[in-house]
Amino acid sequence: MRIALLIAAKDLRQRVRDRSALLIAVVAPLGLAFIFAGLLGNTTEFHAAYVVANLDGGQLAQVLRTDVIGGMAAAGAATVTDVPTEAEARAAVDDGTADTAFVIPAGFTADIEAGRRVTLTLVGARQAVLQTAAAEALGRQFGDGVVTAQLAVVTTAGLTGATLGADQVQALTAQAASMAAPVTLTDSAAPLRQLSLATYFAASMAIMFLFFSSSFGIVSLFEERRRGTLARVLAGPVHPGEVLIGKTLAGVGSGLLAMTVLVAATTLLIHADWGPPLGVAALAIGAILAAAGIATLVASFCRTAEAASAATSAVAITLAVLGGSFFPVSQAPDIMGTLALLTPHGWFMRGLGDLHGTDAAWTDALGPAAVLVAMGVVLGGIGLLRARKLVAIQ
Amino acid sequence: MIDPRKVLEIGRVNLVMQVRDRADLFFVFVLPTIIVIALGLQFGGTTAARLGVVSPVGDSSAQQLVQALETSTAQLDVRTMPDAPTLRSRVEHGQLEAGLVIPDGYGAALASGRGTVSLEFIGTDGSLTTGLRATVEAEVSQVTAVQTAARVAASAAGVPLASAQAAAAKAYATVPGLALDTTIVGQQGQFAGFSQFTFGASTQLILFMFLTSMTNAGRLVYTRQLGVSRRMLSTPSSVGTIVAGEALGRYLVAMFQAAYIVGVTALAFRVSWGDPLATTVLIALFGLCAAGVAMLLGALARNPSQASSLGVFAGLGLGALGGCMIPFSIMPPTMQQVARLLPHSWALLGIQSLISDGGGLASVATNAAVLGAWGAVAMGLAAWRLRRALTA
Repeated sequence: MRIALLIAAKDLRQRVRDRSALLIAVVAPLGLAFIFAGLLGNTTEFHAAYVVANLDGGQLAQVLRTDVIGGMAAAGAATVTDVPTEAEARAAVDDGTADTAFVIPAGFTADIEAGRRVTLTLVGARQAVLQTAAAEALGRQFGDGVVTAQLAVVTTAGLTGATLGADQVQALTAQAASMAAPVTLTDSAAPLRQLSLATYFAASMAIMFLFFSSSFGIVSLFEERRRGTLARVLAGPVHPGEVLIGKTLAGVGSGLLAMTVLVAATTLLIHADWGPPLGVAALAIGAILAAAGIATLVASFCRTAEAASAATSAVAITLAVLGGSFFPVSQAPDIMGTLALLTPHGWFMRGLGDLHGTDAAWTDALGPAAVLVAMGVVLGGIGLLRARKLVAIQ
Repeated sequence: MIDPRKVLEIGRVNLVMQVRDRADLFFVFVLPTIIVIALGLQFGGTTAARLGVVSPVGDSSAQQLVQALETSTAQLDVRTMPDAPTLRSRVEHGQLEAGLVIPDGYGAALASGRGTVSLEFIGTDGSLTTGLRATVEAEVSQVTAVQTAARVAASAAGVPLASAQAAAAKAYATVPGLALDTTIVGQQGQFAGFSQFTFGASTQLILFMFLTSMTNAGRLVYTRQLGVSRRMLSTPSSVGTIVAGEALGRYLVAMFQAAYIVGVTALAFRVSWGDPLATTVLIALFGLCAAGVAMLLGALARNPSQASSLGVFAGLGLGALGGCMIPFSIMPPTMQQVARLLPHSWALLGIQSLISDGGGLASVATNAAVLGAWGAVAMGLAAWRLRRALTA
């Protein structure tokens, strides 16, 4: 074991002094995380810019403007601007200053009170699909309030078969307005167990490049064999297994170093919020074991350093694409989400997500961390058994 | 003197080495294809907001509400969930934008005509919840209108609630109420005319032309390191011939990658690439930029591993900044300005506009001019540095 540790320590020292290695292990993931975080800004927030041309000004138009449309502004989801004419409202949508325009026609209040049909005109910008859908929903919500009273009158008239007098209509309208709603919608806030974009890309780039930094141990074995240093090491009182374990430990060690630097640097530089340290540590260790295990397994099928390094990179990038390193799989179709859970990347990101949200505890990450460790132990175990031939004395 | 035959030969050897390199096969052929498929799955997937619903089994009133949500004009993607905890977990993990729980006994409570049933709307503070809530509330308020009218009418007309509910539901469509007249204005979106795989194909074309050129730069360092360049110089070949040959080699590699991606996406994924002449011009000029930067890297790098690791990083980083990973239109304004400095954005936006508007060469003249200038500067700089590296 002492010899294995010696080999691992020597490899790690070499690794830290290698500038190309530092570029791949630290600079590249950090730089890419920084770029992604900058590119995405705040794109997931919903916000609507509404413009209202209130050509009526009556009491019901005011209710629509202040209580219904204004309610969305009060909730912080919209900004509402008033303009005097329909043409100005349309112009605001055309030139992109507003997402959707409401045009409340003249005679709006009077028509509703007289039981005549009214039309609310909406003009939506093509890019603002959700904002316009929300505007339509606001209009319908107001419309259903209008309909309730009218419907109570029409239904009663239909059922009794009589024509109702004005005072009866008024009584029914008042009764409908004062009745408690038979169905209500109550809000229940769910904590979003998802990472901020800065954190998401910090983490996804970290695990993608972790595969490169933790594969170097096993890959360097090919080089040692080619140069003859392996044969010289084995000429001493050294068991081949110790060399193999030393190389694996070097991979795990460099993964650990890279991960620690990345977590610290992204926290400081792009304000990534990784979550409770114990949970993050559990996931990081799981991910490093999985990465080193997969690298060992892949390399065990190769014959030269070039082939091993190309094959481990190919596997690393494919798993990263499937595992959501380039785009969050939660937004993608279900099949992508399922595929992601076949990769260590998918479990790592899911585990980090579980660490977020108001009632999250560090132990929430233990499940995903256990999956990662299992992947590492099983795949790495098979890989080590297969890799024995690499250190066999020829 | 530059000897064209020798230039062609050096270029050809470079291309053959690239094609024969088994280790690179994955990155040149397989990886771009995987990414185009993955992006296609995402692009072709749902863009509608996803609403999870838990509804009591065998409750016809609840079924009606779910149906109303499914057919709503907001085009929700309504998904039935087995129970409230599953629904909540999916909302928490961002797999659904929001959820609605219709409680057990919903239909019975409506039939009783008394009291209030409360539906639980599970939403997060982040995402699209607010926009979605208004849509759900609109459907709920329709139920409320019918039920309220029925309760009022049943007591006023002295009939059983069930018949008042039936009458109110029937009368709902006939009351004057409020009509909505929605018109959509503005230009067709940036992605108009795109098939499922078009976005992925166009972005990966630009990303991989550059990335493959950059990772290939290591080979130029090898050529210098192993003394191949010195031996070529000892033959009766001018430095200019060798520099031109190496430049042609880089260029052929970039164009080879482009030909593969355009060909495979057109044949296998039925991507239609706009006007052939204009698209070819843009690709050919962008190839000049990619080859120039790659040759510059090959001339400056001290060893192959430095060149290839720097190449991967710069290839991915510049690709991301240039709009190959995050669509240009959703970048913040400052990052759009940064993207404008890179050839990627000019090539990509040009190619995408050719696909969506069906325009010709004239419509992308500016893009072509910028790419040409960029390519000329990059190539000139690279040729100068390589000449110095070879003769030093």
